[in-house]
Amino acid sequence: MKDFETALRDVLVARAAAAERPVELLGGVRLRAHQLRARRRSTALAVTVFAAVALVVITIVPLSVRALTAINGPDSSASAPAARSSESAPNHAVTPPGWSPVTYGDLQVSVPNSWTVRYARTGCSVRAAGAVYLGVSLKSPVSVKRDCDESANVVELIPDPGVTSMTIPPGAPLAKVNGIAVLPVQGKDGLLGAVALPLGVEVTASGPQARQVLATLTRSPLAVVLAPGRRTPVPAGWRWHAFGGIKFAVPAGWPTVHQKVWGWCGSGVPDQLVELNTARRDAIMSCPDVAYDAKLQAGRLGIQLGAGPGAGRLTGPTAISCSDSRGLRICVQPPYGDEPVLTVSALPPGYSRPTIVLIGLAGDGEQARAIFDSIQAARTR
Amino acid sequence: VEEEFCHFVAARGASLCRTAYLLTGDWQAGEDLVQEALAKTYLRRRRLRDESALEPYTRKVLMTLFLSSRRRQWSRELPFAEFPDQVGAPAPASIDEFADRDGLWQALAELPAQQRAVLVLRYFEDRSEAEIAAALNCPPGTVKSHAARGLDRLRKTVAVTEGWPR
Repeated sequence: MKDFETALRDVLVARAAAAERPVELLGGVRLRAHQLRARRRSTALAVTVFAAVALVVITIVPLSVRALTAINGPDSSASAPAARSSESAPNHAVTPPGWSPVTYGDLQVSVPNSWTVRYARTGCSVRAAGAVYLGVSLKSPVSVKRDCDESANVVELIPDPGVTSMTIPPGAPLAKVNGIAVLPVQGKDGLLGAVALPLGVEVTASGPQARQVLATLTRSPLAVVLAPGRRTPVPAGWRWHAFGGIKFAVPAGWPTVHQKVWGWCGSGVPDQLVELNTARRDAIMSCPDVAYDAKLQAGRLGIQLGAGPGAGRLTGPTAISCSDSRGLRICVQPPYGDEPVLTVSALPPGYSRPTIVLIGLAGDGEQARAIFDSIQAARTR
Repeated sequence: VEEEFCHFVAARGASLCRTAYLLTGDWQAGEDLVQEALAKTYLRRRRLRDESALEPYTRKVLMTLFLSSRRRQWSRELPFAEFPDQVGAPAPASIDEFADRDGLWQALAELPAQQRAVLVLRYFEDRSEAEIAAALNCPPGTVKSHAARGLDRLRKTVAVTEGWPR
């Protein structure tokens, strides 16, 4: 009889030989190297900005508190941590090379990669050839950003106010931009704009590249994912995963990572990755409100799931819509932060807490829709 | 990706995948691990002294990634390729548990990650204790004790189920 160690050696060799299959590693290596580099860059940026902000706060706050104390007496309020900043498919052909898509609700425009993307809470520290404001208008009297932008090109995407503030040319006909019905509008100083009627978003642009930007207007991936219609079948070769009482399918090549903390600075979900998060607590880290450039802000296709108590912070008190389907109570949640991500809560039968699913929105939205449509109850807990 | 690195991946990729498969028990998971290790090696390649250092460095990263992934992994739910829709089918820990229920292989899968890593390096890759210690970044004495404990546990498990001589 063979001795035990020889038997073990034989089993290992036989197993490895039996399992062996052709490998194509370089594509995955290239992708992962790119992701690692991007992660390092974004961490370094966040650390640098955080350090700079901390330095400013350390320098200025004691002086301010001293001044306030002299006027008002001691201030007992603790400083709160900064909030985290957070039919037809989109037409890719309208995004020129070197440009990136920027989405707001159901609408997408494209701008040069280097332009900055700003939200209501984003600081004004970065100046670029162009700036895109999402959900905030420089014209608004309550906007804190009125004087902060000196970019040559400014684009704003805001919810359709119903009655546009700009002049509608007499007899202006409805126009179509990339298949979307728009009402062209014109303001003073060469301001051009369009109200995307079916999508409920007003977009205005000024500057030398205004016309080019408006020509890229199209539907966002979010509009594709949530569009009514038949469920998208799971594409061949996709891989099923089970987590937190639900199952879902993603492209087979996506690696899986397990996390036990929430908290990252950057945009959207990790690229082409399945992240399963069992954090018990909310993230303790808050991120600086920095403006990202359009390339960094562009959506990435990936998925994050949270099944621990710490995932609760990703959803608001009121869902946008809920339905009972596929054995789950599925609710589309308001977006967390300003990122191109669809947030969904899915409550499996017998569970007291929903599993939170973040689906990255990128490309034509079809893959994100297939992922969303694949979500269903797992049969075993 | 540079030509030199491409050659290295083409020449040694399959071997790395075999080792990673024996560590993880799942070919796809092993391939993921190898890709991650190669990506890290690729980003560090300029700091390595020459081409011959690529493989030892990659294997070291592979081991580190494997051990840290085992520490992070949540034991209750694991991703797998096909969902077990059959009523009454046993819940698998991995695809290979379905495919083969060989006692020794199963017992190996149940070993702690470090013991499994030591046994794979010793009996599959025929590495010396010093080489294993370098790959796992631990003293040779620790390698010895992991190997002894791992073998002992395997013998006990297999002896109980299959009557192997102890």
